[in-house]
Amino acid sequence: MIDIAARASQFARRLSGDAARHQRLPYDAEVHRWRAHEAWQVVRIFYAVMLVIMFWQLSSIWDNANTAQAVDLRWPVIWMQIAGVKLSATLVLFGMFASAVLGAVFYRHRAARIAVALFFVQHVALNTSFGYVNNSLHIWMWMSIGFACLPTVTDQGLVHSRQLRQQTLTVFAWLTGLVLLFYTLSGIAKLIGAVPLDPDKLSSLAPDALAYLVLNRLLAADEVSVLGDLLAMVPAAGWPVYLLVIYVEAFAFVALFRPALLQLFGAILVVFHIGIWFFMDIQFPMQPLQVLLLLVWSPFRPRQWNTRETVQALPLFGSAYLAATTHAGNKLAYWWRQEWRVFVVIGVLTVLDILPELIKRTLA
Amino acid sequence: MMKRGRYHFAAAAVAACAYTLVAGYGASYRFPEVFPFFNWALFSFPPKVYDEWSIRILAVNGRTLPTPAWIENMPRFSGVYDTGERKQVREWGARVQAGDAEGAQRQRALFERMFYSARSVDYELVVRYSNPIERWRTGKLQDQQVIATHRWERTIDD
Repeated sequence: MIDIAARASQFARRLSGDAARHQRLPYDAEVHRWRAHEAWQVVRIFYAVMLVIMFWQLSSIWDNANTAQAVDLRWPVIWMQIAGVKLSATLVLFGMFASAVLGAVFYRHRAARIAVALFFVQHVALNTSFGYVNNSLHIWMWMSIGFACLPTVTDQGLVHSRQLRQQTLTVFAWLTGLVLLFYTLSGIAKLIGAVPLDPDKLSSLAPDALAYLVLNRLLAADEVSVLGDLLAMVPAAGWPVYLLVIYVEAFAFVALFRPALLQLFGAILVVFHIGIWFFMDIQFPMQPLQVLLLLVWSPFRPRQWNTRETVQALPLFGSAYLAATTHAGNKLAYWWRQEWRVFVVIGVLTVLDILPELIKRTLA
Repeated sequence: MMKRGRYHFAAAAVAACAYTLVAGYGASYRFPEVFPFFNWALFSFPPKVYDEWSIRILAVNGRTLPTPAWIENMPRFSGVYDTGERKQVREWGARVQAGDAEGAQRQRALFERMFYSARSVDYELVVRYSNPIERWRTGKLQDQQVIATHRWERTIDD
């Protein structure tokens, strides 16, 4: 019988690229402690910021409470039909307040983190119950759910218990993978958009694609932006930026298996999220912070920045660079051996992403 | 420990595939997602045509306006016609275009709450087409269509 778990594990290790990186590093208690320590620093910052978010979101919850007539409730808040949205949202408001304070003070205790996650999910679900998608807090919500799974810890426990540290890092690995998957899905959508089936759409790889996207958005929102006029005058000016974003987003998931990329991709994504304001006048204050916490400050990042390793880890280009500079044999075969798994991962995710749409069109 | 780690990879692969499939389903059937499986297809399909869904007010409280007015230009409503309401109108238009009558009706109900300061409003749902770059540079429109004409009246429940 095929051991699927062993195959999956082997495939994941080989996604990391060249042969040297396949090897399992021996367990090093000092590195393990450092990674767990870094992880809990991230958790502490997360719950401090959660307190600020709660304070910042109170008026939004209150507005939601007062918009009682016009909601299409998502499933986590369907119970609000019983007591009415106004009363229920007011309860969520006080629950968010209390749990966020508890979370900031007792972030090492699982019960406090579970309370934060419960109320935050309620808030985000209510926020998306008004007839349009509001994804600004989605990743933050998933982080709160993930951190609720962390064990209760103490300083001594983290120093002495390998199991506690491992549980911490396992949760971080899952969360990092989830967030990288989100970026990859975003990149895959842009790659699908490269071959438009709809005649009213432009290829996402066209030089003026970003100009069309940005100006559409600015017109729809009746806004102006710092770089909007530039794109209207020189539509191709945004091309290199958009291509870079598509590349980093589409291959973001690979960074889970090539930790040397976490800081580079994280830094690019931070710039990307802030850059959206320059182009589209949309502020994403949470997104750069999420990327900082989970990628730039990831407990899985190399302890020392190494430019050469980072370049070699780049999906598609790193192996091409290695093949061109160091490999003596068939360079194309070498490159393919290193990268075919990346194509498999992105390919499978692409098929799954478009499968429902394909089924819908076929049935129609 | 090592064995458990192996299972994590298999479980993670299944979870990633499941998330992608559910998120793809949410995107395919549009509204608005299978919470909390958002599909993250943001700014991915550059439209050649800017379709601007808007509301043109014909009458308020039974009094016909001298000339129909865009909602964003009417002082009575412009204060509450904000980003959320614009998104609702756009979502409403998207459902009309997709032939989703039930969804369109729900969006209409969500949108009409902004009329509560009036007793009745007669209005048109209008879509205006333009090239976004031309529209930005010169304001030029390519086409304009009235999709539906509606009357909203406040009921006792409101």
